[in-house]
Amino acid sequence: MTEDLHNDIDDLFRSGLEGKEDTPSPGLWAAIEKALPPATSPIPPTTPPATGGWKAPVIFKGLIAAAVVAIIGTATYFIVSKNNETNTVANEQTKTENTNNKGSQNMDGDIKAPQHESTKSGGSNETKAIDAEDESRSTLITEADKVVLPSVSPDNGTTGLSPEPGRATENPTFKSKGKRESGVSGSTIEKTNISSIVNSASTVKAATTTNTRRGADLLPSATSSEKVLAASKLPADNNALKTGPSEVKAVHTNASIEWEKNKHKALITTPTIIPYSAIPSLGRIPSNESTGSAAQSGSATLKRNDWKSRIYVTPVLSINMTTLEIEENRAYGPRVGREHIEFKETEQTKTTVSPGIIAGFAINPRISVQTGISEFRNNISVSPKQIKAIRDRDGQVRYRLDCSSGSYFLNPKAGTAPAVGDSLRISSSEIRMRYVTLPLSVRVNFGNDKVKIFATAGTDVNILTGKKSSTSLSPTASEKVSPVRTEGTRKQYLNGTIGAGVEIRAGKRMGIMLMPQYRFPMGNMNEEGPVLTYPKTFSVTSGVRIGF
Amino acid sequence: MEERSTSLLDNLELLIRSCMAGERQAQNRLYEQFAPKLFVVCQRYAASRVEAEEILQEGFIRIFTHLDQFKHEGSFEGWMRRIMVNCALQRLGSKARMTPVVSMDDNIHGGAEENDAHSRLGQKELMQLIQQLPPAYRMVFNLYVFEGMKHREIAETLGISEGTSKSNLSDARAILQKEVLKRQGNALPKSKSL
Repeated sequence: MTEDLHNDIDDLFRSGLEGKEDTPSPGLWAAIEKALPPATSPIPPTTPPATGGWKAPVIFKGLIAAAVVAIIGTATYFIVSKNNETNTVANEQTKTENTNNKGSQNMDGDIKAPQHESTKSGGSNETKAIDAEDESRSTLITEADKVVLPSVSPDNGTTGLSPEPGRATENPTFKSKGKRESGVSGSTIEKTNISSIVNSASTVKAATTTNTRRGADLLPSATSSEKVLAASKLPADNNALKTGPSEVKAVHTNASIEWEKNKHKALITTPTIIPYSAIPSLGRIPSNESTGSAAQSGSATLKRNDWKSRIYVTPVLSINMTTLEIEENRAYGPRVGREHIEFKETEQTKTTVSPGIIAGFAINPRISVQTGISEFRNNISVSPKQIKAIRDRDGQVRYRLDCSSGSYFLNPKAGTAPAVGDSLRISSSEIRMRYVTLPLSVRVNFGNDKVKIFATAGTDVNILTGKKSSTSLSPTASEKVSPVRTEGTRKQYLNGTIGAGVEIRAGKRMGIMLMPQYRFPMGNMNEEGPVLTYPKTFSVTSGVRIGF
Repeated sequence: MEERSTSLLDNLELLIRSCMAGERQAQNRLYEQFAPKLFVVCQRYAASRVEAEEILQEGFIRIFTHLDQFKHEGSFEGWMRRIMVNCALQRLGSKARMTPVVSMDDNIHGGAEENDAHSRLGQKELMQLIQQLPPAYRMVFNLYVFEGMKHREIAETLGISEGTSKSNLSDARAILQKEVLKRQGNALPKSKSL
């Protein structure tokens, strides 16, 4: 009878109000409109419902982050490399003017550079060919070289290489095999780098080995008042030129001939030897020690390349201090919405230590792109709280522990099986989440060779690999209960990273690194819960950088 | 028939996307389309029409700013309705906990005399009766009768025990029943005299 009355009342109100309409005040829309943000974006494409595993928005966010990093890195690389190039030219020209020349040449006489013995051809006028491999490398390099040939003085004009003043052309000198051509002399190198120096030196080597070339041949266009780049000497031991690829060395000279209009004098500097591997496009950049006299000759290019290796790895160990930003999930079902306050009050994160390895590729001495793999742990301690038994998706009645990271279904062995609505007070709970983190970042170096200051920025993809909890029940606090089921933790989430650190050189290829880093959330770590949780982590990372 | 419903769904989809882009015209259309129904929902949880409008306003702002969280898996109207209910519960939650449970004689007053009672109570009268309930009773009654929630779910939602939920519902029904009978009783003699 009572039940019928209840049903009648319920039905009366349900039928009288369900689905009915009523018009609110006309001014209400204006108030809503005022509170809304202005339109900022075009109509977004339809987003398909997310499927299990990797969710589309996360991938898009990751790709966008990676693209931004790549664009910034590439742009910075081009800007920096362009500046360095300009500086190198300026430095090179300054050096050549100021260099103390051991050998000299004037236009009227022989080359006064020391003779090279090992490749002499017994006084033959023929020029010795350069090692085949040596030349092939030279050809490769010279393809990239562009030399602006200056105008040739009409009263000399023996070069025949520069019909048009200032015309950019491929440097023909380096294509000849052993034949010394006059294109080098009388030219102004407008754009240079180590490669061109090596090539000019290689060619000159062939020329000087004949020991019969005359200064006039080398500088046929000596009538123009310009700086010219030439080589004069061979290394002491030319066997280096004939050894295997790993030992092949090119002749580097920063020799210059300063042509003075009236005096017809040229200044030729001491040659130096640089391993081919020193050429940036071919491999590792040597340290100042390994370049020997190159360092002494003050090559600006070498000073610039005081970094050790293009590719490096850094085993690291991080100390992570995480805090959780917990917000109410307003799109979640009807509720009062106090969970975010409760979780903030009952949950404390713990400091964790995580290992990892960073692999880096140096685009140039200043900019590196880094990636790697590391482990990230997020441990949360839950204070005593009341939990309730509910029926889970499998139809089993279990206690549910709700946390900021998700829900954990417990089935304590002690006591009778719970009924729906039963409550239980836990004394504590430890939640341990383990992630594999895949970072992508850009590192910018400052400072000198011994102590580097650097800054990094990038993004991490955190993939959940393990999630455990251990709950102590009252009054039997000794019993630890593991969840039989967990829900609500996202399998992956993104975070951004910014950091700055210092690296101290500890050897030719090693450096000790210390870096404070801040990881800020780019997405929530949980899903379909009453709260949205965003982990923020401050890390101190230390490691040893090993170059290859 | 199927084509028509598909077309409506497409239109709604387009409308939602336009709203997500912040197009004011589309937002206005969405408001015009759903506000009347949602306003009734808000009124059931509110103590007055003014309060219901405040809930409706807050609810629509939430809807427009959280449209990206709608997963297109269920009814859009149902999703909006849940947001409105959520806004209402949040607004009334603290009030409900603070309000002591009062006797029905102290609580129910006024309204019946002001109405032109008929044998059947209209929407306005029914709404008035619900609005006159104490907030705690009103919330439990609404969640149970209109949202179809069980006492366990209500208890979880409101942070109360299941027993309290049952008790509140029972009291709410008793108050409403008494008021309905009272109004019908008032109306009956008049109709007889006619």
